[in-house]
Amino acid sequence: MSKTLAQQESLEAQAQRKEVKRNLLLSTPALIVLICAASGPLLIMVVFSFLTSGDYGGVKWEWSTEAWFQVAFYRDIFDDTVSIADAHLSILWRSVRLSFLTTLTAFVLGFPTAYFIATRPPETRNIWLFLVTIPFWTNLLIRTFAILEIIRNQGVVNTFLLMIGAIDQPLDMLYTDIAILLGMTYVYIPLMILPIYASMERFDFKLVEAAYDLYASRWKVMKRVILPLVKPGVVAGSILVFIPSLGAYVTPRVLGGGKNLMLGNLIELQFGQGRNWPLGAALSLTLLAIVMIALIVYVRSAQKQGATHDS
Amino acid sequence: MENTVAIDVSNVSKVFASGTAQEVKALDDVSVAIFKNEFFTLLGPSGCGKTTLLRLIAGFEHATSGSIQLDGAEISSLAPYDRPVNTVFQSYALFPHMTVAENIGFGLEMQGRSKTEVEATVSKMLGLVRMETLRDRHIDQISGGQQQRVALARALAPRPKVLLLDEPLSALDLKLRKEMQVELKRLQHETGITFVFVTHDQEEALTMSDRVAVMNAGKILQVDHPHEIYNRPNDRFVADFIGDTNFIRARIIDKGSTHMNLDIGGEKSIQLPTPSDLAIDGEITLAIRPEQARICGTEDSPIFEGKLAETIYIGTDTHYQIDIGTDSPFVIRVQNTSGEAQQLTQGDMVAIAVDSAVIQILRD
Repeated sequence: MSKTLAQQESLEAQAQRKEVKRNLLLSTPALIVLICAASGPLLIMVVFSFLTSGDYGGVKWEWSTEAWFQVAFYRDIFDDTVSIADAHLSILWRSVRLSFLTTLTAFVLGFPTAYFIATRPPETRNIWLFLVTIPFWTNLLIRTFAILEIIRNQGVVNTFLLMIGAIDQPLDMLYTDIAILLGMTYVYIPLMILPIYASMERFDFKLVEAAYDLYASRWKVMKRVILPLVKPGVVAGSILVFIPSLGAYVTPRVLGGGKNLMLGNLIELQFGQGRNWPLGAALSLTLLAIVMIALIVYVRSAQKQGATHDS
Repeated sequence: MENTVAIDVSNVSKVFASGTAQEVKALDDVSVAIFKNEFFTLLGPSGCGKTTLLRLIAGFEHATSGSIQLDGAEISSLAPYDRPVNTVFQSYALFPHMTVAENIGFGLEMQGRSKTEVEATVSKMLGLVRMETLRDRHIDQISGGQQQRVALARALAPRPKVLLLDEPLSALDLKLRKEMQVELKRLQHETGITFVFVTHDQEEALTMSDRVAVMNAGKILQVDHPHEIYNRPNDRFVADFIGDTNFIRARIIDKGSTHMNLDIGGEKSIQLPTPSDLAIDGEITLAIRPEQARICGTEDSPIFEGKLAETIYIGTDTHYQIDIGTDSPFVIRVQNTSGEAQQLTQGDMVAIAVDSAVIQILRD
């Protein structure tokens, strides 16, 4: 009896091993892509960040932690005095701040938009969704230059304001943080609208009636019924906007001019004119770390909030 | 029953998509008074406007014309959250992100009641619907019948003046539905709240209601006590919709002061006492309930004769379909009390007797 049981167990284990093998085989293509396209480059970056920069770009194969040191500190080339790298930290701070503001603005504008679309009759919803996705058809660079054309001193907005006499001289909107914020919000807002819409489409609007019926005001209905139930969409949308904003390159480059750099531009600078690949690599990894920490904190707090609401 | 009016609906019409090509008249000049502490049912087929009327009372829709008063005060322009009226939805519409207790307490919380009061009322409500043990469960962790109870408790918790129920039992299976019917009656008695119940199930309406309003095509056809609705339908639609009825088209041949002769299309005419209030001449419709007719011998006074076309045995009853020369066969339902089958075979000529008191003469 015990023998047959053991036999059966070994048979089961065999079947399980077979299953594992087959699953592994089936996921091979995905694994290859992940290893080659994601882990590989990441590993190269990690290695580069611990090497010495070459004289004409590239790296010298000498171990060094200088790049990581340079992320936050600045060593004077003449007297070797060490000070905090203000330029890097202010760029870091601007990146985080602008990305946060972009996410917030995208939410403030995107949430009502998603709500509007979700409350249309089903046959017209697709038209609205289609309109939201139209900007994706155009190259990012062209869209960014379009924004530039609108807000520059001789652009559409200033010309109009001058014409109606609201202002005497053009407003300096271009090459400011506001310009970058505007550009990034415009570029990334569909990534906020679409996931919120997806959550909202599944939302049962009978619940709104039920809440109204139970003496909830409009604001209470929003806060106590709609928001908690579409939160997965809001969380997804925020992540989808925040991450690319933090690493944005084209928008701050075009709309921020040369002076308002963000992390993406700083990294590009190190691999280009700066000829300091290890520092570029270290900065890239810093960016990655910020994104991951921000994500963990955000998702955790969203879960905790959900938990207090739910149970 | 004290007949103070709780809800007074007068001359209410509701037109959807008004002014467009697809204009739909959901309610057509409807007037009805619903009394305090009454179990009032709106009964009708789907699309008859019963749910629209309920939604107008709740405040989810606004009437195109007419007025709705609650305890003498006009409420038709108030928002749902300003009306002391709560709804039990067909789909229950319970908040999935809240527990049973949080759902029940929601209305009280929104009214700004103190935490202790909310707690106390929620406990009382849980007791009322016998759900004490499930107070911290989530909505997706309880059964359909339990959700139904939570929906009831949630709507009753703020002690509304009127509770509106929109086909609340339609999603339950038969056994549970029967249980909930009894439960609803009990709750109505215990709380003393006016219930306005919407259903398309005539049996449900007759069992539960103090009064029933039968609706069709945006109009209320008859408002009365269930037995009156069943026994004295004033309209062909009502007679047809409630229970089974034999309809016989007839033409008045001659009308005396006591008796009249009717031609029902067969070989013989039939004689009935002339009702005192008969205002119709010419074509009329007679309605006879299958259980109120009987097969008789010639010594009784038969009013029709016909050929037995079909015998259907259904356990408690036997249905006889008798061809009396009209378009559809005349059905007689006989209760099987003796346990012996009646000795009738297909093709037999049978005589049918009906007390003239139970024959309804309907306008068309």
